[in-house]
Amino acid sequence: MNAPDRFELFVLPPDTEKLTVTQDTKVPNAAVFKIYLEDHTLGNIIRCQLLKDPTVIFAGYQQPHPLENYILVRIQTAPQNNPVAAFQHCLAELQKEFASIYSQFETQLAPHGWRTADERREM
Amino acid sequence: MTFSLEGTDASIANALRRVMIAETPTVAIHFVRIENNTSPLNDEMLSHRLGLIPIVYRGDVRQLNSNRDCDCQGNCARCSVEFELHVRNDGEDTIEVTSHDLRALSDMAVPLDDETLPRGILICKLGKFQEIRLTAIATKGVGKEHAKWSPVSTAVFQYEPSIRLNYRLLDELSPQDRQNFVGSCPARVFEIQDGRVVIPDVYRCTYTEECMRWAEQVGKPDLVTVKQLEPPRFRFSVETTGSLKPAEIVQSCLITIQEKIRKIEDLLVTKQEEQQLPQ
Ligand SMILES: [Zn+2]
Repeated sequence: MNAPDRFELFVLPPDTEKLTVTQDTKVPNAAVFKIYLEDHTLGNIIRCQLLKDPTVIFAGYQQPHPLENYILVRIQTAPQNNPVAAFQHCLAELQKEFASIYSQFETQLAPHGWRTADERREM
Repeated sequence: MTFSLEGTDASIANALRRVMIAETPTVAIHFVRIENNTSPLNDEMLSHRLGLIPIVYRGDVRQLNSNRDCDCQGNCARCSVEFELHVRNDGEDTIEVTSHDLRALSDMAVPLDDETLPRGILICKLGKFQEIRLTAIATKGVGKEHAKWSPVSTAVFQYEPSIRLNYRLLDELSPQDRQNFVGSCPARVFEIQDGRVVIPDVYRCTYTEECMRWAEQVGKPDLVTVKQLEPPRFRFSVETTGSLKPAEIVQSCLITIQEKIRKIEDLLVTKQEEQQLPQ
């Protein structure tokens, strides 16, 4: 009865931005990124990727409430880096990772008699 | 379809799994206009059953507009596919209304037609003089909104187990004890071939550790060790509802994730310029 509308998972609430960055005022080199309309899918891969970066001191994410469709990613870095740069590097690395999985998957299809999505549509 | 993934960590594997289930777009019936329904099923139940029928879209589902964002009024060919269903039972015997009776009004999509289901998917049965007449509109969506849009019936991954047998200790066992050892595993990971203990398929292992417990009880704790392979390797199983091919789902899910990351990358660049954040 009071369940939230399903479209709230896809449509940004009015007067909100998909991404906001808040610098931590107490801790140096720390910031919180608030990302709307994302969940554990992205939160967890971002966190795991950030933890591989040796200049990152802290990386964590949370979805503060299951009915509110945003996640918070908190990053603290060593002085030689900063959270925004670390986040950017992390996203670029993830992009590379998935691109590599995509191309390897595609080359594996033909020997197993599978067609790629594009080839199938051309038939 | 099954495939292995290695050289990465569980977070990536889990992202793939989650996106396949919840964020890979497909087409499913979302609006139903019922003109006549004298069947035993009420309108809501009928509409729900129609929604669950896998719809095969002939084209790239990703190129289809979302009905919510399309600039048309109501629905159009760029954001939907229309179907028609009209069945009336004028005979004495009860008849079945199936997905075969669902007629597409364009050639862009058809209800799932699979050789393993020659009679189609049962929607409802009609008694004497009962009738269903309706039009249905299928739109693009993802499993996150409603499970009817999820293209997979199963999308799971499993860590590859690493099972090490100590054959020197195994040879010390009597044939009866070897048989008992093989029998200790409830998942039947071990078999005896020509008197030797073999593992036909490591993925049968469910990490019950019953074999290790058995080995400890007979005083040979080094007989067998079971752990996750390091570095990890994952085996995915993807089974579809029929609306997309398994390979298409994997490809589509990888594109979805890359688009999500790209969007945040772009926003981060604009934020940096706006807020003059350190680079
Ligand atoms: Zn439209």
